[in-house]
Amino acid sequence: MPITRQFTGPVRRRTLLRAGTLAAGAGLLARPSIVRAAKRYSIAVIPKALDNPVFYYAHYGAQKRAAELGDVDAIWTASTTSDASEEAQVLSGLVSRHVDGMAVDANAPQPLIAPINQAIAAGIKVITWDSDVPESKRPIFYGVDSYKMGQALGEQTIKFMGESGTVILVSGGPGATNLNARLKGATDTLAKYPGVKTLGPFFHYDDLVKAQELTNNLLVSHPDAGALLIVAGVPFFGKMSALPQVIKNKGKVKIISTDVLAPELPFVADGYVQALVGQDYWGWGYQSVSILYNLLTDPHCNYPALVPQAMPVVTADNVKEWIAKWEQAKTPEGAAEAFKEPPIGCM
Amino acid sequence: MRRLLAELVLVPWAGVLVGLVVVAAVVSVMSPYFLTFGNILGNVALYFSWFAIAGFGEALVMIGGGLDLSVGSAMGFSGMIAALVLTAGLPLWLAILAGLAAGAFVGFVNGIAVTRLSLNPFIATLATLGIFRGISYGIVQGQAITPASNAAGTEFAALGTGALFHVPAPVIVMIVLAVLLYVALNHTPFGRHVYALGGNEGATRLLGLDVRRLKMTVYIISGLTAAIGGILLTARAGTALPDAAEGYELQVIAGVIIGGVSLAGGQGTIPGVLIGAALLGVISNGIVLAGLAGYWQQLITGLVIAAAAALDVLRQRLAYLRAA
Repeated sequence: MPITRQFTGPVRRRTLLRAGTLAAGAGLLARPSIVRAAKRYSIAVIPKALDNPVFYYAHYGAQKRAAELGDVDAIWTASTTSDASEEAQVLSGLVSRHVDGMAVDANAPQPLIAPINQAIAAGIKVITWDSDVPESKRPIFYGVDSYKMGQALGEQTIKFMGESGTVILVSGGPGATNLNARLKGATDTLAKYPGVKTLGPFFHYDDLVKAQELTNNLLVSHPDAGALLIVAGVPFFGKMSALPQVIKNKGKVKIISTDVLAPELPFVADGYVQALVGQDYWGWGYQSVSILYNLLTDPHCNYPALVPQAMPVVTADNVKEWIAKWEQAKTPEGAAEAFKEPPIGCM
Repeated sequence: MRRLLAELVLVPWAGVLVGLVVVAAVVSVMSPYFLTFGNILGNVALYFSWFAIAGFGEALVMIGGGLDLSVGSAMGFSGMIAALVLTAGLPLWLAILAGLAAGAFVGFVNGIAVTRLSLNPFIATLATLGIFRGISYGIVQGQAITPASNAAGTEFAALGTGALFHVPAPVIVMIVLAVLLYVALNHTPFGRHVYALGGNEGATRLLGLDVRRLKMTVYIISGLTAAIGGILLTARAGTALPDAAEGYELQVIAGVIIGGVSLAGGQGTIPGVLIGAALLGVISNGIVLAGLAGYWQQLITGLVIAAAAALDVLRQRLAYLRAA
């Protein structure tokens, strides 16, 4: 890529100073401009954890956008567990490395306020995605409005269950801001219907086996409930055979859940789950890198505080289309084609 | 009745058994679904089976005076290796063997660290907890490994989802292992040596027993039982996640201690471990069945653990008084 980028005065002086220091260290004092010319942007994308399948496509998306831009190194890193304190350490490490940009998905907001503000004070561009840290100084949150997602889950529940019945609420962990906002959106929507009663929430702590156990247990113990409203769709990430009670239930207690991932779709196709409300997983990585790159390279670039994402809903009506989409997305190249979207420019 | 009670205080796992009966009675009053055949075997027993299985090996290590913090990582690592072998198109028996070998290897590394490097068991197994969890993440780069739905994949899934006379396969494995390890611990010289090792390591050495070999054996058994639990857990879930069984070591150890195994070594029984794991399983199931919001689950679990431990201390005092 030709070096045509214009730097503002102070940035140029800082960059030259840094470049000069580097060059001096390498014995290349006379050629600082060459070091500047080789500038590449290191953008770290930090999911809540490394193993959750919803994040694979964010990873692919980040890599794809970095490849398209050419002068970006996308760093994919996270704490090994969904733990905000560990995540705070990861962020502090990235501040020490002085990456150029960070896109953070927060396990919990409070422990991340300090490291995010510390990064911003160090001149690093920081945005949040998926789960926000609203009290930090981050300028942008890219993701669905979790409260609205909860409302959508509540509306789907009413659509399939009707306007009366007991709705059992299931979530991941009690500390995640986005899951709590989804719960609030769902319960506020359900509260509009006097015939609807809620029970819970029950937590599966994002552990697949525990989530399957909890789902089976809830269906055994509440066979007369109207619906199971799950704001973190982990129970359906494994095999159908691990959910015998869901199979036995076969749509009697309506099941409304989140995420529109490949392992979940057979549950909808076979009538075990009535609706899934998802997010743009590809965009988490692809658009986060786009937004940060624009912020890094264009000093006049602006975005609103919430850059909204699409919120797909999968039901029996469109499940085949989504199954085909995921079939295509089995490789990173296929995913790029299946979830193709234009990069978000400055607003 | 007095005579029965007097006899009962001498049984090491009597305290936790009373705790289990009390909690089960409370839950069955709160929910009519608790005491149903399907719930007890298909939910409660199934979901504590891997904790109990890993707990049997952990109990051996702890009775021998050690500690194994790596059981959760060993469970996840073994399940991951088994799933990877299956995904490579190899037969089921080889996948199981590879998973067991992975668990035994974790135990072997623990044994080497404790016996040859003379590391404190807490530090040694804390290190291997991180090492083998890290390997699980690293080899698959954080991705889930889902065995294909071919013949071997279906047979593998049956290990976790199959049943014989309505008894889930993992529960059958748990019962068989409980019997085997009970016999090994109570009716063989090996078992007596393990108790002796935990009771007084110096004296055991003076008796001419190979202490290093004995320690190595209990750690390898712990790795193997964790592997069995991990393979069953993975088969049940249908997919191997690198964070599978993360943090399970605490529940395994809690079950073992509630079951009467002493942290100081030299004391504990296999039936006690089984009942300890069952108690935790009943609490987890009971909270859902009783419709209590999940926010209180950890508090209730903590209180019941404390109550069960206090009950056991009371039993030990009564037993001491009776003996005196």
